[in-house]
Amino acid sequence: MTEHRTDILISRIVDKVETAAEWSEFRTLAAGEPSVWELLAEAQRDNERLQRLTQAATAIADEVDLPRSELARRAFALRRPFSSGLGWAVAAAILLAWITSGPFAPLGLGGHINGGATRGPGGTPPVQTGTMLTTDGAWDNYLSRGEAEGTLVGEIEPKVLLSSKELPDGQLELTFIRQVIERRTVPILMRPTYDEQGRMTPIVVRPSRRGSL
Amino acid sequence: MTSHDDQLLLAAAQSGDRHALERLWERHRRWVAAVILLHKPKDAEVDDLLQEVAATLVSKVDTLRDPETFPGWLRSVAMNAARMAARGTRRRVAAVDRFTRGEAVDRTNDRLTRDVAHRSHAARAAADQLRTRLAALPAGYAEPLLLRLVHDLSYSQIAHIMDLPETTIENRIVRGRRLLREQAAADLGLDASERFGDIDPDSLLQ
Repeated sequence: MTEHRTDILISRIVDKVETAAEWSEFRTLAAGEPSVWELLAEAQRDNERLQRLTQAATAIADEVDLPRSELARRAFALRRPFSSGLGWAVAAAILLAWITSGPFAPLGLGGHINGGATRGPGGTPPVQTGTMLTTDGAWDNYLSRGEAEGTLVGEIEPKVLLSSKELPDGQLELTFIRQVIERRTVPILMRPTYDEQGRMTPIVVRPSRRGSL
Repeated sequence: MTSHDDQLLLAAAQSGDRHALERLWERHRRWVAAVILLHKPKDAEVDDLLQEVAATLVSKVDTLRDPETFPGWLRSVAMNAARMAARGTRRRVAAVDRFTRGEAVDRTNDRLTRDVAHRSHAARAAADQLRTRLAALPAGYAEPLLLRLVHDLSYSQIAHIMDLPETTIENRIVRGRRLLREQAAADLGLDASERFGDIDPDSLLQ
């Protein structure tokens, strides 16, 4: 029997994948050459130790979960905003909603009522009511002001459609996410940590690499 | 071959089942760590690179058309991460994700304060020992042996991951073991525990 064949038999026995015929073959070999029992014992012992060392070296893998940020991004991506046949209808509905409530809306249908003036009771002079905005108007103000001040980089398009349903009157009700990118300059960045008594202690965070924040 | 369970999990994951994707990762991350361990540069951390592989899995799992290719694909992602680390490519994913989980971004602070620091240290020590032991093996011999050790993967599973014939895998494992035995025998006057250095693997598992 060749040395290589002996190695194969020992390796298969160590891995517990030997067949009955291979085990019998090994026993026959060992009957004529008892030292192979020692080789087998040593191989099993070495394998066991290597196995434990490997388990210890890779145990850290159990602490590495899938990144939540990527999972969340994927969950949104899987919703495929505006990608189905309904997408155009939804986009058109949003456009209509914007027109009827946005800056081009006729008075009385929403939109800006900046510096709105109403007449007082009995035709008295107009009363300044200050700036009254719809939510869309306020949003537009926020965007344009943010851009002007440099605190807002822009709005991410397309909006992410979460759900849509048809209302009894034939209109569509949409639930969607609007995302904006903001920019801030801060002297220091801190985050809260908690000690063993549960007391909050802020610690300074230094983004260690470009883009890591 | 990819196991039936893996195929089901992969299909569910690709249809948006987050838990299936997490389960799939849990089933494979140990051997992925072993692949990284073998191919990474010395100064790179296994957990950082593993985090990169995890991020790639999430972002690219939908691109896999054939479930049969999943283990091989995952291995190539792991090897790419290790190679990129070897090229000194800066990695940001791990730090970003730690930050989004509300954990430390400052790596120095992170290492000093977390209680996993001890476990990380133990794992690193074990990894160093393992790499030293396996360094005597020719390229291509250590990986099948390590995959067998880390997960009791069958020869055919290892063959599938490495895209090699099963007989080649078994031969490499047999020859790898023989080479390790010869290396040990060359360490004259040392018993088995000394050959593994001063680290007791049992203590590392506490």
